[in-house]
Amino acid sequence: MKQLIFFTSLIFIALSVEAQMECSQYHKKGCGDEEGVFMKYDGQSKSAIMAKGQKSEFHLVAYNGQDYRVTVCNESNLGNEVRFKIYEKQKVFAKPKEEEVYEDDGAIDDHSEDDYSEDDYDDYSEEDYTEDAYSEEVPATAINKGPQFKLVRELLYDNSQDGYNPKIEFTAEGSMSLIIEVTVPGSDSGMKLKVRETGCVGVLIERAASQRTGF
Amino acid sequence: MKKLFFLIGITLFLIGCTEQNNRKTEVLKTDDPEGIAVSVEDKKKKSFFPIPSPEQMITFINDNGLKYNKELILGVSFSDGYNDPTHKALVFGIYTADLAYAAAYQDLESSIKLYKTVRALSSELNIEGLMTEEMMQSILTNMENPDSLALIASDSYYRAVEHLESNGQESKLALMSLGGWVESLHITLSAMKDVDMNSDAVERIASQKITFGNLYSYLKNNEEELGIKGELEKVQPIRSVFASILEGDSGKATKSKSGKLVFGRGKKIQITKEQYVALKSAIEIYRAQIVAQKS
Repeated sequence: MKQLIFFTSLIFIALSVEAQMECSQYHKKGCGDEEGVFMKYDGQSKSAIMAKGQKSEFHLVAYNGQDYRVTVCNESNLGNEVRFKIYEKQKVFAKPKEEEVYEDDGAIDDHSEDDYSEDDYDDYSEEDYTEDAYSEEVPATAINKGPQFKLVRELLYDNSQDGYNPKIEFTAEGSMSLIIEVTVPGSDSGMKLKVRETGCVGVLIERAASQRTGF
Repeated sequence: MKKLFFLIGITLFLIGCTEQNNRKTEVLKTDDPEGIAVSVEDKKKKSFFPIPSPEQMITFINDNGLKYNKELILGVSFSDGYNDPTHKALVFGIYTADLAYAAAYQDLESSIKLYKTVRALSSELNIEGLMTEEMMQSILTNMENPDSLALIASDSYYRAVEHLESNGQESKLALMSLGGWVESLHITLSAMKDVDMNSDAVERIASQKITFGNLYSYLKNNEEELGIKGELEKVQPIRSVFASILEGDSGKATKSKSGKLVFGRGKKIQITKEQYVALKSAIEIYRAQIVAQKS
């Protein structure tokens, strides 16, 4: 009898280990729930194995006229404070070199009055974004004179300012290239981590056509 | 009996251990000779690009009332004779888009033919078990439910993506995505008659600048494999058209009066009539190149 219990336990352990390994589908199992408005699954959803202290980027295209729901979920061993930020990739004027001066066109800072948490998200990232598929095309017209552009990313949302909410819904009023930067809490010192300090992280994207209001 | 239990136990334990080792490999492809620990630094900043799904574009044009045109689908006879994996993957992508198109517009006859073609190609590309006989039966039993047909078609596509990603076949996936994206653009651009440059459909075409940009980056990341470098050269005319399309700035995230979070207010990607025509031409030329390249 003891042996039977032992082997049964062994079977359950083995099956649970196997189940844990199925990371590629994690967003379908771990992120979904029945709450909220029904939205259609978006194929841009993704899962990955991440380690504590790791930061990864999930690129997303949001199309004009669509509502989106982004849910980030993770295995429990990674903690319950997985942070995610949403950036928009934007092409902006490059900073002028030396005596060249371009006036700020004000486009970035020109907010409407009902800005979302303006104080929290007012930082404008000057971090160059190098993965520009069209980058070689720009210098051809701007190599010697005229404004030069560079890709930057602007912070739109940070869930650490929102109680580590794992879910966000937004309306896209323009087609945009977004980056969801997911950071798993933990040491970021390059130290070696055990495999048990890794786990599945899922990014579930759902969408629905925006409801147009008015007559 | 005891021996039986023992063997079952050991077998399952070994399965578990094997999976654990697989996971270690997936986690890192580690520098750690023991394969026990992983370096956080090695994994930092890893990027995941979205794979464009033809279903997205097809659903959009269906929702916007564009009429179905069976002639736009690549004939299933074209699926034979592609012997090199590069073109096989590209053509596989084309047929997945055609399947999404036929399924979305409830063309059952074409859907079944295309499903069989995609299934045969997936087998040739070693994407095994992707499209099962069960799924085929599911299509037949869901003939009365067109939504299910489209769902099965998109599910097949996502299965292909997941299979290729999880098996480290990103180069094949990149080519399949390129084929599917080109076909969905070919269908959309060809189906649009009396083009209204201010329509939602044209705006969606212009938005493909972003989609293509991501796809291009993904192809570049895999350019050393499976003839991708050659394809990157061939798509330069498409890239040039998109590069010439201007993108407007968007402001910060805002909240609407109803409390809804809004991104991209005022952002516009503006395509001119000339750019539209140039894009259509570039897409048709590249599609013709793919289809013609039998070896």
